Amino acid sequence: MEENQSKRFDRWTEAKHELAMVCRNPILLATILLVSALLIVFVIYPIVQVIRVSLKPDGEFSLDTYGYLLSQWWLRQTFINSVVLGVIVATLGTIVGFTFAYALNRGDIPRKKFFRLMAQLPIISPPFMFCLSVILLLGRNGIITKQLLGLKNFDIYGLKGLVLVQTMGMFPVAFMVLDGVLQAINPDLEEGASNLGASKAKVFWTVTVPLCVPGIASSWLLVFVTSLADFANPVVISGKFDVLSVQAYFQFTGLYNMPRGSAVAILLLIPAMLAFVIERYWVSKKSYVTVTGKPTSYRIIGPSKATKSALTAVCSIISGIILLFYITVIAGAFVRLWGIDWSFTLDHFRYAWDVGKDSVRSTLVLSAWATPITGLLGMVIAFLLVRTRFPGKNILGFTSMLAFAVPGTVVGIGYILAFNQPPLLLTGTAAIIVLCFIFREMPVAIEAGVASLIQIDPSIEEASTNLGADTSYTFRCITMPLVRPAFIAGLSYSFVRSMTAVSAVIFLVSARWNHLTSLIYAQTEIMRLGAASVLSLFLIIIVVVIFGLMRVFLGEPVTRVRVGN
Amino acid sequence: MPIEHASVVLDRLVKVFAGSGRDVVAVNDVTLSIQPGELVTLLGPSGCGKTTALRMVAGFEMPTSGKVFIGGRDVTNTPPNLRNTAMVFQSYALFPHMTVRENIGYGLRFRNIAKSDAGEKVERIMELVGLSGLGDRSPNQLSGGQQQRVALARALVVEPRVLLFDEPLSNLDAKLREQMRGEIRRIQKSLSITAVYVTHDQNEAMSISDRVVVMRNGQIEQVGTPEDIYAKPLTRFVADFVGKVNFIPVSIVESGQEETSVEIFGRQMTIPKVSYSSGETHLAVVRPEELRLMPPDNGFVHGEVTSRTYLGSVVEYDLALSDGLTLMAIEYNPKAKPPFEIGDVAGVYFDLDKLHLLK
Repeated sequence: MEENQSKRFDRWTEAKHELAMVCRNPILLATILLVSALLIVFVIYPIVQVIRVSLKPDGEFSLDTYGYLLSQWWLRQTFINSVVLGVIVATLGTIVGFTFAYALNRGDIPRKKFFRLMAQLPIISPPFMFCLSVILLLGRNGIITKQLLGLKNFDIYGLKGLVLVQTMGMFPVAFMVLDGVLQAINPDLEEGASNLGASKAKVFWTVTVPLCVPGIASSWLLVFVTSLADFANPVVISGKFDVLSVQAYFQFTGLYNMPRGSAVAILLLIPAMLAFVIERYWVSKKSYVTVTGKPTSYRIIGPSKATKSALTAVCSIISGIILLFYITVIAGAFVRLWGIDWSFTLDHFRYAWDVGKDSVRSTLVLSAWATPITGLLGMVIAFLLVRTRFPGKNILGFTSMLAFAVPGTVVGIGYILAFNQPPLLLTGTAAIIVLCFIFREMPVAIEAGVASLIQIDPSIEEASTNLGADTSYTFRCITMPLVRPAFIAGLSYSFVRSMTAVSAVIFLVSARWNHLTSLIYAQTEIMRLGAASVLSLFLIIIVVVIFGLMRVFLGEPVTRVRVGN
Repeated sequence: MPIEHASVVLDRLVKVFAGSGRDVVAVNDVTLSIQPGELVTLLGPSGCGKTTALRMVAGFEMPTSGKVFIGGRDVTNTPPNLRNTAMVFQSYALFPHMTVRENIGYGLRFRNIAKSDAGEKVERIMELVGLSGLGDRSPNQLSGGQQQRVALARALVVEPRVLLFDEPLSNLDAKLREQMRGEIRRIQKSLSITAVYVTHDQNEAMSISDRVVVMRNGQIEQVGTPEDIYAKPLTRFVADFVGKVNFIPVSIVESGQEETSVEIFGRQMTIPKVSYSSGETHLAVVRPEELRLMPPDNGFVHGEVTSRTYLGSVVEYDLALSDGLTLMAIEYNPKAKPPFEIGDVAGVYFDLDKLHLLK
């Protein structure tokens, strides 16, 4: 009891001292206050608005909306559908992701570079693209279902189609986590076990897999959240298999039922937040992987011939499907009427350019605004989190990472509700979309910044202040040049994400500021699959070109600055 | 180079870090006054709070309570960039994206100095620390010793009121370390800059300091000249930490006017007067080099040689006495005497006139 009290007292004095330390540094204080204000207005406030509207349908507090949701079987079913889909995709995605990660790190398979690229490609692929390909391949007029197999009543719409596109699109999330885990596990451990006489299968099941368990749990949860929050795929291909994100969208924008749309969004938010919090504060703490900074020796026990062939086969099949998706979309762009008239045409390009050129321009403008601000703000927050101490830092860190967990649908609805009246009347403007991009993509920029800052000896920045530079000069002239690779990586990523955003932005687009993805969605809706393919192609080309330009002008993001001694 | 001489005063400094399990008191009520132009070393094992104390002088840490004065002015609430201290870091902390010249000149950017003057200052300081001609190199093209010189030059060029050293030589090999500490001492003396130097290496502390502050568990154990610290340690910890040592129990039998009668190794002997009362037992600090080994029937006591380490300039012996005590002796100039072998019995003698007793 007494010890507890003295501890609380010391926490309090510590906080007081941290505050005093910050207060004597006006620039730092101003930065912290500004960042906090931004996070409160653009991250917290919109979510609060969603909750408020769902609880006050007619201006009075009431649980009626939720009562309605729970009493209607079709709404209950929607919730169950979302979770079932999430569980299936998380499981399959983790299996595929693990297979790739294991094959690339331990499997000794050929063409590692190619397979690595394939395992990351879906992340930068435009939304709708995989659905589009699946419809072109397996839909009613699909080239496989109709032309090759002659099936008449095959229906890809629904759960099976969703599982296919989401697994292909989301296994990279699991891959990236598990790739990092397997890289960090010292192969000596596995070698040690095999020296002690364990068979290869036994080493795998008793050493490798147990060491990966926290990583596997992490990837499962992350894929689960991604699947739950997905809007682009289900809106196109879910058919009668209703999911929450789509339901919220239709309730909100189709039926103008704001309280119900908000409530459905909250139903979506709860499991997503739950999974996120479990991942962040429980699973990731259980990690056995310790980064020692010592390069692990790469003496890898090769798997048996059969295992190696099996791994190669699985990776080849998955990669083949991804490539097939790309080829299909490219083909779709040049075919007059898929499934009926296979003649070559450039009409889709003409049409797509006509309807799409404004969207291309506005998407580029919006992303160009959002990207540098995201990168810079992300780096500033990373700096605050790693290099400074102030009361409430943990809350600031959690809030800035919240966008990872909050589904885009919730954010979109939140922004509409929060910014539709003065003084923050932003609906219909470019600003609301740019702000939405900034605060949704920021976590990645922060993570990149944090990862690179913790590798830089803090005394380098201390040396700068010690010699007379203030915090902002140090940040500009010392910190930024040193974290440049991470900064550029953050920029590239947030640009791609802005270009390919759907779930939140679909609520925020207007006639003046349309987004290419929402145009692709519209074209898919009216079954102009050719035009949708062309627009997807535009998106891919823009992303690749800008990626290339960033590398040329800002430098290679992977180069490491050697720092300290 | 005219440099303002500044005193440094730490006034009842306390620093508590809130740990996840429990709080850690890194610095516990440290009061210390450093004269202008003096080089004072904070010496102690890792975790004794010496670096935290230094970082509070620099302003990187905020004291939980207590004050820091530089040149008589209370700087406790002054941010580091306005304190005009300059630190030489353990890792050197050179800016990897700048050349040697840019690194050294960095601090001058904040000090209203004309560009040409700044350039001149940088060249002069590079000459002083022996870096002439390396100005356009990047830090990672330099050897460890050269990087160390850049760090030193970068700190010196801003003419700080206080120079701070945080274990600056710990990344260098032994030979370079000795050479660099000589140079640091020479430069610090010639510019008569006040300096605070943190190290865990007692040799470094002894050789470089005007005064040594021995710290333990966040508190000061003893402050004194290197000679005081070595010859007249106040506590067993100081005696043990600084150099090798034998602790020999001494019982006070009777204190006379000028001499005290004591019992050592069961023998009655007289030593110059000490102020302890009869009946008490105290530990005498006897350095290994004070012990003389002689044939077995000479000396106060005899012991069996249990180990013998030949180090070229000296030979170290461990001796086991019959009462269970072990002694370490160091004999200089091994060629002059026939060595003792393991198993030999040797008599032990030391000078009683300068016996130092701990409280």
